[in-house]
Amino acid sequence: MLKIIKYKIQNLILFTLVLITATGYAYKYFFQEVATRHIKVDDCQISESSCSVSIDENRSLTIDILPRGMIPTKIMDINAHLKGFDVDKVLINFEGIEIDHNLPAYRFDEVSNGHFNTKGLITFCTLDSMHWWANLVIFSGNESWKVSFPFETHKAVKPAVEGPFMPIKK
Amino acid sequence: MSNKLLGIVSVVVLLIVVAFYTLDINKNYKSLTPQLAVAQIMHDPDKKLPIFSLLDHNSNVFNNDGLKDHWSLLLFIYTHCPDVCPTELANIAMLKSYLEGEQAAVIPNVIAITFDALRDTPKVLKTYVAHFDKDFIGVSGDQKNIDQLVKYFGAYYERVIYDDNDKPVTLKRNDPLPNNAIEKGYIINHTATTYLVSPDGQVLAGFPISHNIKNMANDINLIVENY
Repeated sequence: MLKIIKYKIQNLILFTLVLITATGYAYKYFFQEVATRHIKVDDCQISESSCSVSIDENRSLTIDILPRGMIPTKIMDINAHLKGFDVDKVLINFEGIEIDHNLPAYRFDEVSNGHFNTKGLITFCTLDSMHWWANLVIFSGNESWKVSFPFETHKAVKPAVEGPFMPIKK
Repeated sequence: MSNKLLGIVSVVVLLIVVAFYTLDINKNYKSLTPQLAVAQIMHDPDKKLPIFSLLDHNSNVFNNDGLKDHWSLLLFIYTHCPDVCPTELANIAMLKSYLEGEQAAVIPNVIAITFDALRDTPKVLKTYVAHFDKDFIGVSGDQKNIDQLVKYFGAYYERVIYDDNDKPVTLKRNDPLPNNAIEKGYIINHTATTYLVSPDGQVLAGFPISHNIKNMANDINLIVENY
């Protein structure tokens, strides 16, 4: 009798554990939402200087993109210093305002405590002036912050319109 | 519930959970991100390649079958592009030579689809793409079919004409080109990414322009190994 009760309890414990695990995964994959706080910065042009933002008393960040000017299709060195964040991952993407289009995001690597770096570029070929947002997205547990910095890319000269254009073969 | 049944149900649920978790890991190409030097994972299993029918530079039909059963590097171009497109194609030609030299397991086909079907006929593309590599495939055809693929790949373009004062005027997607557009010339603002497409037609990764050839080759090999 005692053996049967023990067996039943074992099975119940196993079943409960499986149920908890399954519920956990189901919650993770189907229900868990990340609450995003969106901050739009309007007093700093990220293409002209580094920009600093205070989120609250404990958290702040500075972002610096070099070279200045943020010329489309040229590789940029992007540095972010985050203070007071418990960071899971940090991304940056560029969003064209006139074209209403997001370019794919770049993920930062942590190079030292609170200092993150990535290489990125605006993969958009244009000869017009354009307005953009550089969206820095910080993920921390169930929270995330999207901090958007405005910038402008400048008009290039009008090219010759005859074509096709091909490079000279070496 | 009997003990036996309870035990069986527990084991079955456990197996389903493990299978679900494992399956998710296997298909999660994003987990490769820390090892990738330049590629951006773009895989979305819910997105299916739309049915399309275009023309290759020999005026043969180029449709979904053209992306089946082999790896492809696909990019959107236009032959009147003054700098980015020729540079990008020249880089991809160097990448192909590098992969051949390294005897890589996979040498992807290179597919260059024009944004500009009006000017880039198959005949124009034949001369253009062959300039970079004889094996490159130029693709043109119906603009609506091209636009469908542009959207699927997450690319973007817009045409810019110049008015009588040489002031640029950006046309909206469905705006028709003026009658004298070809004569006066126009340019196209466009995204510049090369896409890695798997043999079952899924976009697995994108390579932003200004590729480092060796990094790109390593990334391709890594993604192919994990396919």
